[in-house]
Amino acid sequence: MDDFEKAVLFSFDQTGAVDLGLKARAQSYLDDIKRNPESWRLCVARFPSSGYVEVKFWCLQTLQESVKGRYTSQPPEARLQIKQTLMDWLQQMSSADLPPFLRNKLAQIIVSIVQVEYPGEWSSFFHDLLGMLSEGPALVDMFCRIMTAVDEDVISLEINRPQEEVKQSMQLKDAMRETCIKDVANAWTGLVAAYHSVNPDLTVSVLAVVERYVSWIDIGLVANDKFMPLLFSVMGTSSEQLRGAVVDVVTEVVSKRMEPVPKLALIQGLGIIPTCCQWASSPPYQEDQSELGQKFARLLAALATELLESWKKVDNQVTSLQAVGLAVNAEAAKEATTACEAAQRLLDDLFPAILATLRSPVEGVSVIISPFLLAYVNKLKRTSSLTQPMMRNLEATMEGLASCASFPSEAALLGDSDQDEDGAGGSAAILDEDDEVAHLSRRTELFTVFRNIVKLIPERAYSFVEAQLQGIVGQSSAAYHDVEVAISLLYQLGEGAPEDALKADTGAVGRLALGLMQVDIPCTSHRLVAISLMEAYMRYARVLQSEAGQACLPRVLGIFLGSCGIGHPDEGVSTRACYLFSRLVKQVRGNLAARPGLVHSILTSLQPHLANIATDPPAGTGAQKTPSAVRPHHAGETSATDDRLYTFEAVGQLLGQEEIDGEEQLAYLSALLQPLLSQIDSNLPGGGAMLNGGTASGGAQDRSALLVMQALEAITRISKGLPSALVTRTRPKLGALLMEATEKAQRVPRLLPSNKPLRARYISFLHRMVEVLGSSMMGYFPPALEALMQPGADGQDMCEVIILLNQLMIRFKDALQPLLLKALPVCLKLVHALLPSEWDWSGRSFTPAATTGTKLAGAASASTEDSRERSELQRTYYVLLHTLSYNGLSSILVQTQPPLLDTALEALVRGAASHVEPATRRTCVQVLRQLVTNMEVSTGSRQYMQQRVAGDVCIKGLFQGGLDARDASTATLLLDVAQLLKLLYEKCGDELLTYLGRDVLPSLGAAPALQEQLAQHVRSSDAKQLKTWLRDIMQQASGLPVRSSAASRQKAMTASSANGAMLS
Amino acid sequence: MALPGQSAPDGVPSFKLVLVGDGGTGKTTFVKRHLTGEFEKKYEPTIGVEVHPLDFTTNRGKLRFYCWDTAGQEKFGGLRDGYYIHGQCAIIMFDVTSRLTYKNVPTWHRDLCRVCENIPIVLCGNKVDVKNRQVKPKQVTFHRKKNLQYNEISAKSNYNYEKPFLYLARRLVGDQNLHFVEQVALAPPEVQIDLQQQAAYENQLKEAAAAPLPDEDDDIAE
Repeated sequence: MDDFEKAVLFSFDQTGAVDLGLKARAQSYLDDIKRNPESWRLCVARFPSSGYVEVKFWCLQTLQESVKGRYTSQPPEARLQIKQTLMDWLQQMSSADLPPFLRNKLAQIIVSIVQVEYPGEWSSFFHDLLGMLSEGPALVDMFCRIMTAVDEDVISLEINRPQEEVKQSMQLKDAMRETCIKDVANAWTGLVAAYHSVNPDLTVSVLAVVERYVSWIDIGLVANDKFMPLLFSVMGTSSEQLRGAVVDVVTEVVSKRMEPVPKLALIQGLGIIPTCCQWASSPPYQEDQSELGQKFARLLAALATELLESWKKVDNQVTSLQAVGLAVNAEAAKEATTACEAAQRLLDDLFPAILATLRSPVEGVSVIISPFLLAYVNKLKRTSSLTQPMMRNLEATMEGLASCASFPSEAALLGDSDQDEDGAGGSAAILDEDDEVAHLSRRTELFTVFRNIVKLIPERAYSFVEAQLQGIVGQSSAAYHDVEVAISLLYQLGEGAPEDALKADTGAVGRLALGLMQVDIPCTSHRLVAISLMEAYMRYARVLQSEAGQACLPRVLGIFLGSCGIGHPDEGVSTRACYLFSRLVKQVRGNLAARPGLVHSILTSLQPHLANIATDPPAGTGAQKTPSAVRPHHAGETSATDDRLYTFEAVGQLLGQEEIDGEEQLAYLSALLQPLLSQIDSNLPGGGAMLNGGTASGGAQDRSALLVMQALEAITRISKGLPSALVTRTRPKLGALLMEATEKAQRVPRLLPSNKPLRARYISFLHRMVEVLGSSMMGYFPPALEALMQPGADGQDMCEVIILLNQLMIRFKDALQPLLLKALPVCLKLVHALLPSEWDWSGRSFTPAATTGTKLAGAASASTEDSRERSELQRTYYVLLHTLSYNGLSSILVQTQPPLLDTALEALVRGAASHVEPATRRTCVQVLRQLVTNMEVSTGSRQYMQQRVAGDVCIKGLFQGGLDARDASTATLLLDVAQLLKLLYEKCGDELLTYLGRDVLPSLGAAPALQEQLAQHVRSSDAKQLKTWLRDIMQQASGLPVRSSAASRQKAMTASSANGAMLS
Repeated sequence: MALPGQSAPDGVPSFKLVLVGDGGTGKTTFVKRHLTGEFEKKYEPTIGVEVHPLDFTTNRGKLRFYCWDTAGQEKFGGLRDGYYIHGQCAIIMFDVTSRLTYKNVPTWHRDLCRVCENIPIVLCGNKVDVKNRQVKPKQVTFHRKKNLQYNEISAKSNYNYEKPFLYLARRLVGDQNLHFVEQVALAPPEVQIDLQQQAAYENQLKEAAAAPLPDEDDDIAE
């Protein structure tokens, strides 16, 4: 080993064994060599002589860099010498025994030279190469590597190439087509013939090259009477790899882009169809040959798809000719018909094999064929009449889909876990879960095909599902997966089914659904069956409203309420059951009203579940599960709310009906609420739960808060089913119960003011109670608002309060006056404590696009969330002022003490003039309009209107930037601004126009012509015209082309011709 | 199986894993999530490759990946494809928020396969936690043409962290039922992934798996 070799080996070392300084020296020594234009001489000398693969690799890599970078600038004799050396190495390949990565590198260097010299200086290159093939397998191997490198480095467009190289790719293809591709193709045939039995691996390499070239060479070079028969004869080989390679080439030939009629001729000429048909009864691969199986499936899918595409294209050609009124001559029409018939016949022949592939148990095989099936069914939907074979294909497809969609049998699943000798059950369960998720999404795809078939041949599809159902009902020995799939198929029938079909008495689907409700279903305790059964019952809930359905109600409800539903040990099933049950109840509550006995028994059996749900809140919000295990059925695990609470909603729906006896209703509601209220009581500080230890630990406090939240949410849900009229007028005793709950809940914000989630839950509870209890809540609010608006409230707190206030104002309007007189000043003070006068009212520093540029180092990022909350508060605050002024309550604002009022008005004007969001500005502008409308005209108010509202908001606000005139939300803002200007003109008269013309527009650098136009528009145009004019001027100001209606165009043009850029 | 000088504990099989992909796709972040690897890494600042030993415990015992993070190499300098020599498996990474990084995947694949023939490879679409993704699952088809495994991952949230390694381990050991039995010690997630959004993506991916491949000259990333 000399110093050069040492240096290379050091540079390759990643073990840490070489001293870093030494390594750096080695590296810089090698870099020096690379920089030398004569470096190729060293490489040429050292590649053959060194015994280290690393050194050989380094030589080739450096040689390649040298060729790529400097080859054209080398003197001719140097180029000749490099070329000659490379070809010599190629010749010596049989004795060299180099590892594949060195052979590949050599091939790449040769191709780098070919890129420069072929066809110009080295037109004989490919023939030189072909001439070496007789030297033996080592040269054949190099031939394949070089042909592959030609494809990868020049031709293939799979590699992301710049435009210039794309051109080079075309040029090389053209040159090869002209000079050598025919001989190359002949060589392939010769090589396959010579090597397939003696050297299958080498033959695989040859075929891999063929596969790369098929797409752009004359198809006759491979699809001929020599090559194809040879390929098919090789198909019988024992080498799995070789068979796979043959299949890949045939797939490529079949998929070649061609016109439909020649394509059909090609497929028929290949004689492949009869071979494929045999696969229906005997698949050409073993169960353990998954990769080979997938290759065969891809060939079959390619064949079927090409036949279908040819049929479609011929059909479309005829249709589009007819569509433009061109006559199709008889001969062409006949040719088209023949082609379509041929394609259909071939597809019919292939169908048994296609379905066998669909049912294949070999991993990854079945999935390859389903896109074809969907395309086929879609084509048949556009076919005028279905032939007998088509019907057969469709029916057979339904059977195939059903068997493919069913879950693997329990035995297969158990088999898997048996192998798990270490008993690491946890991991095995996760794997199964992944499989289940994969299977569920596979089914989605299969069911899409099924639903399309249903649309095509509904009657037959119904009979098919009926037969499936008959196979399972009353069969106690039925396997769970058969039961599950039969029910799921029935469920699928419901999507998009016509109204008539869904009727319980006369509709085919309705009858099937009714049948499913009338009898005992086997395996209902199985997790998957339980879910699919409840989903189906819910989907066909309307059937339960029919006379026959009424009789099934107890049985169906029993499924939801029993151990197959809400009581199922699997959390996924029970949670889903809660949700589906609540939806079902909404559908059938009318039918239940007349059956108090049934309602009573439902409520009784729900009792333990309700107690359990109320006292067992989920610990967090779904973050504890590992992300990989997303289970579509278990919505409750990933969403923030606890889906089991739907049960309370269902109970509310059941209870809230006038048909129920008043006394009983009261007793039920009271029995429901009492435990929830005492849960709230005992878990608040000072309640029973806290008494035991004196001071509770942090964990216990969290749990107490969760229990309070769960109880509040449960009451909220119950109330959703109780109509306001019932609670407040017909049966006020019910209202009194809810009122009592509200009183109890009032302690929540006072006792646990810092618990944000709890506070939010309490406020949403209030929102709900306002809807149910209406004005009887009025007296409740002063203390509630007082508790919610405490000094130190943050942005989020105040947003929540304002949203509540808005609800109250919209609902109670004038009646809220006394409350607001006290509450509004408190609210304004707290808001302005958070949004002081130095606050950035434009919101510019908090929009994401703006922050990146002007971000303050360090401090800014820490307070980003706080600022975001405050800017959210600013927007919400404007909505508050808006709600005030549009519900006849603006007098309350005006009655506020002057300093506070001024602050509020200032906030409003600044928002209206400068906020980055047009929608926010619009809110402010609308409030201002309302305020101006009510303003009495005096000297002071006139000055305010002119300077602040007209000048700052309407004119400066629009033209001092920040708005995009093309934005649709800007357009709506402009209309409001226009209306405001008109209103101001009404109030102030020509004085306004004088002010704007004299003081405002000049300060913006506007031309005098513009002042006149503005005056004219404000005076005599309507608001819409004024808006259009404003938009045009804004666009000009920002240098945008003006596009406007014809009426305003002329005015805009005068403006622009008078002074190109009036506003600078 | 250990490389010269790299000593895996006695009896622990080890494999050289090559990690490639455009700069900025998150290769280094990904490999550093694994805490034992981060702790024991060997850093090679001058040449720009880091080798991290990443240990996993399976139902068949421990195994180790020597993960070659080939980050930060400029076009001319370093060993480039020289790092791939003797690679036994690979991860090609792209960034789902950048189309270009996906467009370059075929180039990485080509360069890799020339040095390491027939090794198991996982294609990883990283940064799926980012809301504004540019490469949708439907558009990812390259792995199907080349028979690679594809996983959507988020290095920052640890989402699917173990999936690529599990696939590679199964292929290298030749046991489809191999599974990891201990939680891998990962750095705590920096972001939370939107599980429902991701579930939707996963579904799209499954659907896409069944869709026909686009024609070769259709530009899938546009």
